[in-house]
Amino acid sequence: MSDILNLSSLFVKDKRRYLLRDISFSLGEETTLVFIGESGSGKTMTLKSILGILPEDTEVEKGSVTLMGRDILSISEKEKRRLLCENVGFVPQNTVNYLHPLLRISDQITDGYTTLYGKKTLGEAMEKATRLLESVGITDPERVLSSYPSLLSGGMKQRVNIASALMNDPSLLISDEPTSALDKVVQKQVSELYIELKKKRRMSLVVVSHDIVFVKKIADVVAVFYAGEIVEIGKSSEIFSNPLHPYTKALISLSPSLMKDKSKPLGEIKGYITEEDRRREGCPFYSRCPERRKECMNSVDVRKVSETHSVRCVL
Amino acid sequence: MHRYILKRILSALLVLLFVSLITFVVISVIPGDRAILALGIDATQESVDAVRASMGLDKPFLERYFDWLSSAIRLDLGVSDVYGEKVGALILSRLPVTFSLTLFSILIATVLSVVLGLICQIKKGKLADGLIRGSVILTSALPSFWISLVALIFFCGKLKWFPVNGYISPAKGFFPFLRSITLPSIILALGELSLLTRMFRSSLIKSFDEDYMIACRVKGLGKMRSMIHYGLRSACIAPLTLIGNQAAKLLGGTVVVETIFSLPGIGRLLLVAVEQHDIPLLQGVVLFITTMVVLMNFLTDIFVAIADPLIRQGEGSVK
Repeated sequence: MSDILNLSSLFVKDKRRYLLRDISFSLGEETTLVFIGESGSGKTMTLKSILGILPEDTEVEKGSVTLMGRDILSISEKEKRRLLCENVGFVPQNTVNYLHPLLRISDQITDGYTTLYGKKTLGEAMEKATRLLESVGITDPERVLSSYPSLLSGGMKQRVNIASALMNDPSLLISDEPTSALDKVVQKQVSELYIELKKKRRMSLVVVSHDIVFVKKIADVVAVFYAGEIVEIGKSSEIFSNPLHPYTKALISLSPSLMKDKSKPLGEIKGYITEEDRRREGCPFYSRCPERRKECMNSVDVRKVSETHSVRCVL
Repeated sequence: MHRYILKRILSALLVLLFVSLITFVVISVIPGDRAILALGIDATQESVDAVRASMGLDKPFLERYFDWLSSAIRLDLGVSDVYGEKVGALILSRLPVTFSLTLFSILIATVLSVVLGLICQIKKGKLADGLIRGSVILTSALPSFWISLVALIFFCGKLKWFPVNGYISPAKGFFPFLRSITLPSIILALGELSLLTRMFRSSLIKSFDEDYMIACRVKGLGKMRSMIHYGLRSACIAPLTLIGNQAAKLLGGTVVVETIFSLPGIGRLLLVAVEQHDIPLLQGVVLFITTMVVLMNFLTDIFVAIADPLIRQGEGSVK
């Protein structure tokens, strides 16, 4: 099985510090990889590195990102656009202006397709968009296509974003917290839609999520992020049944939806990721870790537990 | 959209009515009796009274206003004291000059400011950005009479690229007409450039920072398509309003440049009316200018509504 995506020792920094340190993983065909971890831990930054949309003041210091066998950090801007257009779909967090407020949905949903197959295919693109909108649960696709984004609800917009990402039948769908800005009911619907997409479509997924229940349902592989590092990565079953890193353990045990005894008060991981944690030579979780030791202050190597499971911890 | 246009027309008419009243009041209280001006200070009281009566100046204020307004609505603005011609005809004869000046200078200012704004956006914070912003402020800060004189000496006197003065009507050939109008148009455009460039720059920077530009990159759209179709699209709405306002200003306010380049436009006509105390002409020109301003604002509103579907829908969806 060839790799869809491969990151190898990726370091990304801005002017002051590292935002990502030594990020490595590979993703095979038809596999779903989920990133979990608290805000500011580098999940979105990793997605941005894959898509080549890092913010202006950040740069890749070293490492490589290989997408469909091509190193996207070394190819030209034009080649990169083509590569993304052909192979990748992206669903953002449901931000206000991801859809252009002054352009009709039909314009925005079809232009990736017409960029790939030429302007003459607009008719085909419209047909496909209608079908896709129906398949993501929109009952009146014609009306949605002729609307401006301001007339659609948050959930509708996110469905449009998903349909738009699927237009070119991508081999890889990347989603950055696709449900986080939606209300509970719509969140559930969109989560279900993802699980359905995973079943029906032959593609790989990279999803950022805070919803542990959703992660359990959809993930083949889970990567746990902390302060710009992947502290643990493994098959979903391995991570949930045998978490090794103290941070992973805490994250899973403290998830309200997975708590067995609901009468107990909800626990917390005290503190937050400080600037010092990000700069430390050793384990970034050191200051908050309940099981910390002296050797955690030195640099910690990745330890392979099994062929698929590895952890960055001395324990 | 129809309702939107209707509402705009109604409010424009109200504004015009109000402005006409203000114009009439202000011009009526200017010191100096038209009858004495016409007859000279040695005229007898009887002849002055007779002329006053013939001009309708003996009637009460409101009656005079409504007389003037009702004939103005019928496009009859009276007869100029100085020229002895109909004010309407005088304005019409000067219109081509002012119109072409306004049109050309707005075109030049718009094209230049879009290009400069784009360069600033691309080179944000770099040397080119600073240089452009500095120089547009400089060109706008220099008084137009000074730039006009310098340009006149250099481009017309030394280089002989343009005729020294006078307006050549398009009837006598398009290129001679273009040559006669180019230099004053550029000078007027320079005055408008600073505001417009800065407006385009900030709108472009804001628009290119939005998430839909990321969407373009992720979808793999070409650079030109994302820049023009997505980036420029929302960046042009705020400047559009400004362009409308500037065009309105130019339609009534090119006195200095018209005078220096000896162009017989509305500005010169206004100057004559003020200098010679030609009340009917003054009232006519001022009313014309305000009408143009109101009209331009109305057109701007319509253009903005065409460019921005949210405004159209905002009107349509309130039920």
